[in-house]
Amino acid sequence: MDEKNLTFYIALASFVMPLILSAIVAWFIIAFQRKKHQLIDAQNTASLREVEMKLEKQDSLQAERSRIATEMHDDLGSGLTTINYLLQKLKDISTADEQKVLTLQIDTKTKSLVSNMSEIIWAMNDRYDNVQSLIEYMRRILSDQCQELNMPFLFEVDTPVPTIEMTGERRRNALLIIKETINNSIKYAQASNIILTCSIIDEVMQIIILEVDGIGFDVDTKRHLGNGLYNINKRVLHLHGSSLYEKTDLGMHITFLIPIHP
Amino acid sequence: MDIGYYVLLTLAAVSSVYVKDTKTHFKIFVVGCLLFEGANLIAIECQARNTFVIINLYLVFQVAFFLFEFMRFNTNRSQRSWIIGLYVISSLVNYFWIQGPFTVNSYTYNPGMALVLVLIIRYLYLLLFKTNETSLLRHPTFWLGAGVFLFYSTNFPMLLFFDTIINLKSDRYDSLWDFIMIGNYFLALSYLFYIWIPWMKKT
Repeated sequence: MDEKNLTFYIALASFVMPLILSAIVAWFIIAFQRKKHQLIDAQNTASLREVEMKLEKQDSLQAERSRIATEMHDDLGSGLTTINYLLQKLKDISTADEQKVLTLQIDTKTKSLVSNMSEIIWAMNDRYDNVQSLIEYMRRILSDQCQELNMPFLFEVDTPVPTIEMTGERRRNALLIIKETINNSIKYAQASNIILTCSIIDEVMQIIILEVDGIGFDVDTKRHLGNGLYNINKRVLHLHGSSLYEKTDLGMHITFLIPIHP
Repeated sequence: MDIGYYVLLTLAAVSSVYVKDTKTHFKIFVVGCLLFEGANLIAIECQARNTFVIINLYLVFQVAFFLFEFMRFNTNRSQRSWIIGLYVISSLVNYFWIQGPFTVNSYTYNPGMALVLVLIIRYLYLLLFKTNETSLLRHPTFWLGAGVFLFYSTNFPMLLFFDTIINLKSDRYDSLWDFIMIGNYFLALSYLFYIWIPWMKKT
């Protein structure tokens, strides 16, 4: 190697190595900064999501409070006012028969209030936030309502009940759907027997109410006439479920499909 | 130009002694570097037969430290001891019997520094992809790595062409030595960063 070549190669080597190593450091710093921004963005998104979740929780808590307040007002307030009115009336009545009638009215109203109160507490208590509890409560409602009017009934659970959580609001809505339907069946169906069958398939609750030998009804006509069916339908929609009314030789089949989770 | 480097190195050595959080092995290293540079200066001033007698030992010391520092992220203590031990022994064998003390010990210095570069790249990879770090100011080792990169860049031509320069009796030696001094500046600065960053983080 002569002097000229040596100078050229030294100059080349003096550029190549610093270029390679500086490029590695520069690439690292750029990549590090990019990753830093990504991490900061991810952290910001996570914090934002956390705040959103807190707000959502606060909103749902507020909604739950409003719901409880409304139910207390509607179910208990009016009932207590009626009882108070009946008691005032009782003071002015002298005959024993009239007193007996009013006392019976007060007794019925009080029982209804206690039942409503019990339902509200059951819905609020997170200890009962599961499907099993809902099924047990449904059985109790069916039993209470049928026994009161001496209506024969049968309660069946087709599938094993899995331990699945269900929120208070959903339990309460599902219960009110069944309660109203049973009430209608007892009052208007002229059925000889009521059979309630419950099963759970793929986290969807299927409830079939059979009004044995019942007269049945046209659902479209009745929905416009009464509040009961309208409210049932509203609650079913709220639960993202569905309902089916079928008139068969056996009697009226009413089927509800209620998803356990929204 | 050289004075600036010695000032920076002295500052690094003094800082390493006085800054509380400096690791002991780093204190020993920086003070050792200062002693080697001092000995080298004396040798040059006294026109000793060949300053490479000291420089070669200095390079073994330096590479052994870099290996120790950057192997901490890849190996366990026993593996580290074995690798550094083997490197030091082979360097000394080369120093005394193969290349000798009067010429650049490139047979051991080049593979040693190549290993150091690989370890630094591995360290950068780990820092980038295996941690969630957002600040390089929390990583003094990164600054040391960057300093070693720049230092080796400037050493590389000299290591490559030293024998050719000597054989041709070329006057390129001085210009390459000036180039090495630039790398030395960066290395001394990286030592200061290594010492000051943990201290600045605390204060």
